[in-house]
Amino acid sequence: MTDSSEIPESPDSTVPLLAARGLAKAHGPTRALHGASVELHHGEILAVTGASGSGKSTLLHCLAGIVRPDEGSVVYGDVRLDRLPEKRLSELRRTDFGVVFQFGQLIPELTAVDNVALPLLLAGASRGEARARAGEWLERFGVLGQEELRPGEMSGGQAQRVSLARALVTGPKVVFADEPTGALDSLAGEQVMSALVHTARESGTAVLLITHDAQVAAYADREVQLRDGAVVPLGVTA
Amino acid sequence: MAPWAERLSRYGEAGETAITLLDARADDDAGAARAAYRKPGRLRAALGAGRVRVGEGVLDPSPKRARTAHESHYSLATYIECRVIRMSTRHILLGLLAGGPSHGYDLKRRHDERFPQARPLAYGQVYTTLQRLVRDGLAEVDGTDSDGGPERTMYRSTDEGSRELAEWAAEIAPPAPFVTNEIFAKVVVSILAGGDPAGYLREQRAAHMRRMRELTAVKTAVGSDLATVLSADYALNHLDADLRWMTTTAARLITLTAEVDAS
Repeated sequence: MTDSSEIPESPDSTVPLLAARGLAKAHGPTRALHGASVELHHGEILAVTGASGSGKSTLLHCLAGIVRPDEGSVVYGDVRLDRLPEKRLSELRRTDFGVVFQFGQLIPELTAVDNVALPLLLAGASRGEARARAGEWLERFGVLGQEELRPGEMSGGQAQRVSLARALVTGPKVVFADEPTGALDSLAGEQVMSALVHTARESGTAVLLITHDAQVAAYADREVQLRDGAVVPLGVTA
Repeated sequence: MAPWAERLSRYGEAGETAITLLDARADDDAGAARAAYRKPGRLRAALGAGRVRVGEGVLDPSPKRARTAHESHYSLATYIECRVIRMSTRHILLGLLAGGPSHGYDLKRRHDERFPQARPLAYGQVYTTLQRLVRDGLAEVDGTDSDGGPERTMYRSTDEGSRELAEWAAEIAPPAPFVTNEIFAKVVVSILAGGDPAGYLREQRAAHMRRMRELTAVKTAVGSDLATVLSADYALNHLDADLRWMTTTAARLITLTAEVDAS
């Protein structure tokens, strides 16, 4: 087991960055995952699609170290996430992972720039430095002139681009996006996806994209389909 | 199984023949038009003799309407209506001429730029269509232009051409009246023949997703112009509609197969 800093910067393309094997997870009597296996490679954008209740979000939560699977393994580089102590898991999530949810989950009391600066402040940056870097990321996502607005004062598309900036501001190796356009109209959704994909490719960040929308999945390099908590075996990859 | 497949195939042939008949009329090719005119009649007789019925009164009107149109020296509107999804080259050329006089080579180049996801227009088709526009009074020759190269005939739209274009552009396109989709036919035939429709749908879905990724890459490429984005959007939305139908059908297959087996 190693620290996250030992994840190689120049990856061996044959070794997955993140790999789940035989995941099982139940919520009470409901089996959300049932033997799901999936690999995410360095810099890859992978779409996970499937009907409601197929286990997509639970898979994301297991891969991102948010919940632990009942069975199976989650390996990040050569770190077994499912066996990592909570404190180290929390630290790794902060340094290496970024997460975007359907409804952004921005802090409503904070302005856009303070929302984006928050992960940097948690990592020990000064307030001035954090706000400056947050401003740069907001600019990259086309959120200009709205830095001091609170989430309730922005459109859904703008708020979601702020969420993307917050997920990417720490330079994560993986971004997990759970239905990032689910609450947006098609044009705003397209702007969010273009911003996410463009920035991820530019920075070499891998993206695990959960979506039920084929037009959103088409932004990815590859697609895996979930059904009844497992990956549909044939004819689903490029 | 066999009578169904044969009948479906005959409807496909009848549709193609109807288009051939109308195209032949448009080209003033009397011989080809007569041959095509006789063929729908034979096809309709064969269809009437079959043991099974596929959407009686639903799939039949196309060859019938084409024949009626032929007999009454079809109108332009009928011709356009019968072609349904075929793009109207003459109106697109009139549209390109609306900006000012142009020659065939330039029209072909501008067509391919403006309709990047459409089937490329053949040079021969451009010149044939321009000659027909002149014949029908919708365009006229506007001198020649060499511009340092070979001499080229310039064309411009007439007032009548402008009126025709405005009427066509405002005309509501009829929503597709019936389903003649290959994917739908293959799924039904696969169920009838005891094949693997679920496996076929998975592979077809993967092919659709590959095409959607290509189109998404085209429309999000740096410097993509509006025409490219719009045409990619149009194709993406149609592929997406197919995909949603395939997803629902895959979920319904167990019920559907049981119904077909029981009939």
